[in-house]
Amino acid sequence: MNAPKVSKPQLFFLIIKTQIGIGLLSLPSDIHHLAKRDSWISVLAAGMVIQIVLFAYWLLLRQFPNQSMGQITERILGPYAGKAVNVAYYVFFILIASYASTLYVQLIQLWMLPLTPGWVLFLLIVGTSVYLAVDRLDVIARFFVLASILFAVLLLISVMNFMNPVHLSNLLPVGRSGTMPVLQGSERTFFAMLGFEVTLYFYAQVEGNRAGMLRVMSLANAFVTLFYTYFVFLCLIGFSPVALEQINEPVLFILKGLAYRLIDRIDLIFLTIWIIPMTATIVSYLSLAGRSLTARRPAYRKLVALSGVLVFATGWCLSTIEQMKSFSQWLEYGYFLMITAVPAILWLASLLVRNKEKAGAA
Amino acid sequence: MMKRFAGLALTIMGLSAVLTGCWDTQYVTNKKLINGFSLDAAEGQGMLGSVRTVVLENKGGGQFDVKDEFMKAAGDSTSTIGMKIDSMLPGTIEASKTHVIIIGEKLAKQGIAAPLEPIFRSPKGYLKAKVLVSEGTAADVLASKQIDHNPIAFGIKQIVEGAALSTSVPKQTVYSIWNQISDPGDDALLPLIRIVDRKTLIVDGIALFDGDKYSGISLFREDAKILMLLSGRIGRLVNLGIPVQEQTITFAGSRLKRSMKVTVNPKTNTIECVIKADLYGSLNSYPSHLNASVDRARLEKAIDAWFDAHGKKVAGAMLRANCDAFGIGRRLRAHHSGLWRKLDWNEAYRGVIIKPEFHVHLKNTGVIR
Repeated sequence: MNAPKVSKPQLFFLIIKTQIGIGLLSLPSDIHHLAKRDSWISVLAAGMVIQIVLFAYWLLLRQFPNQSMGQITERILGPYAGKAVNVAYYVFFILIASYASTLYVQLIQLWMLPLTPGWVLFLLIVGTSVYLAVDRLDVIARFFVLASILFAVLLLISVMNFMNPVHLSNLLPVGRSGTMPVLQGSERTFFAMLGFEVTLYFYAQVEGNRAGMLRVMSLANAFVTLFYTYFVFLCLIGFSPVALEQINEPVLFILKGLAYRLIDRIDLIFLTIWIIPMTATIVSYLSLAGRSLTARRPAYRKLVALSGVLVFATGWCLSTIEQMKSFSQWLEYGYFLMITAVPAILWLASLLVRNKEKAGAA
Repeated sequence: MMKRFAGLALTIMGLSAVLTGCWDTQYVTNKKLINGFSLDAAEGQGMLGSVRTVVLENKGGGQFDVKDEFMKAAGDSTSTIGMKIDSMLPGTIEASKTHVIIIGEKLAKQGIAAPLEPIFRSPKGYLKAKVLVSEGTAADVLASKQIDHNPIAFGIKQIVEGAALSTSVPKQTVYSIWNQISDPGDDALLPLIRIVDRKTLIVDGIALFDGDKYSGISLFREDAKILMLLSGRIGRLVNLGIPVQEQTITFAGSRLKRSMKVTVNPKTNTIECVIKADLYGSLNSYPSHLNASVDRARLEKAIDAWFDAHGKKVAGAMLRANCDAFGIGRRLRAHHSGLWRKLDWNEAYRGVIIKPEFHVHLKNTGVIR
């Protein structure tokens, strides 16, 4: 599966498309509960934490320029332990994809299609995602690049918000919330910004030399962080502090207050466009799930199809649970360990492995 | 095998893609479109609501007759009233295009947050609906006869829009109000609608709110316009009739520069708010001065004096109403946060000194000297 290569700009879009998704819509009020008027600092801080994680990835991946995470684990930990870690990754990717699609379906049902049964929406979302995810990485990347044009449309729509009364003074005084609340806010933001871990699997498929890879990763992170900060900023200046905490999806709500003679309910237009980044996230996770267990093309296709069925089933089950909170917390912390601690340990271990290999070669 | 499976999957997906809309399809013909409703306080608990719905009658040849229906119901909350009215009318009621919401004086004094909440919360609620307070019963306003053969709710909407353009009342929607009534450092101003001569509707006043409650204090005509200017809002124009030397001149302001400065005396913690408003405009009428050229400096001075006197009156009314629509609290929170956290703003606001300073700039005297 090494054949199809993607370019560095394509890697950039693969990362940002995976990261920007459903998490953003509710993010501003989620952080505001913790960090109040300094929420925007929380987002920047989360971006910095992700930068550190990305640096650790880069240190690890630099040593295995042509192998994806699935192969690296087996090489460092040996076939059995490596396989076990890969299976764990697979399970987490499926769970994250299911969780994301559950939130996604609930959002659509709440805002747009209240009477449509959940399974229909699940089927449409997962079906579309599998259709794209079974394809080669360069095909996925091309679609992501094309769909990124929509971010420009979304930014344009968001600018309309300045027609509403905005109060820059809502941000003042800066730093009043204190360090702890801001850090707690960062934690929430971190989970809304998940998706940068795709680099672990897509790094090996980037064509050309490996110079400048860290720059591409950092640029993607900077873009996502600024994009999120911008929307948090919009909500902070657009809503009174009390109103912001009353609302679940402030990013949509802020557009609900806009109407023009020709266009009305801009929130629904925004949401319709937002469906594409949300689906892209699920495409990425299905692709990761496939890549985590196999490196061969035919097996990959079958595995992605199977993963699609699993995501559909799990998502449907999840949507019947009344209290998702405890599950989501467990999932988030588990996943956090998988994408930060495990790669960091692997990197430390890789130092030893490489030394051994060198000794063997000599 | 794989191919057949793919074909089947595609068929299912194609079908559900086409069918998805089915569950959520709603035909306009089965809907009763509400274009305006009113809410009043009932005796004791509960509310009285009334709605105006649009009925489209096909006259044939692609022409429609727009008719208006009026319906009343009582209930404990906005939603229960809505459900009651829904069962009174054929078709499901649809409030996603409600243009005006009128709240009776008495209910407004009890608080408008609870009655408006269902609209704010529902994903279908139309947040651009204009909200007004009525003098007396709101249902009477909504029950008035058609304006220019238009449904009454459209008529009211147009009156409010016109009044906002002439700087008589603020443009207030459910969305903008919600932010103001929920913010402790901000208060709302709502347009006031009343019936004169038992049949004519007029929007020329502003109701001052304290939190989500109508304070009972309102400002009309010139005072309302001055309040609008002080809060930094100007429509397309503002026409003011100003008495100068026993006659009334008309001044048309078209551009406003306004700045607000909030200072705190460090010793006494007295809060002072200076609002500077520079109004640029022209003289539209000065009946006795048709043949003499106007002494601008003197006239400006006279106009300034009139403005300052009315400005003081408006500021006094704001304090009496405990209505912080200038956002002085928000300024304090941002720039004097230490003091803000110590203050009980609801109490402290009355002690604020508001100093309006007007400067009128006569750019020209119209087409006459």
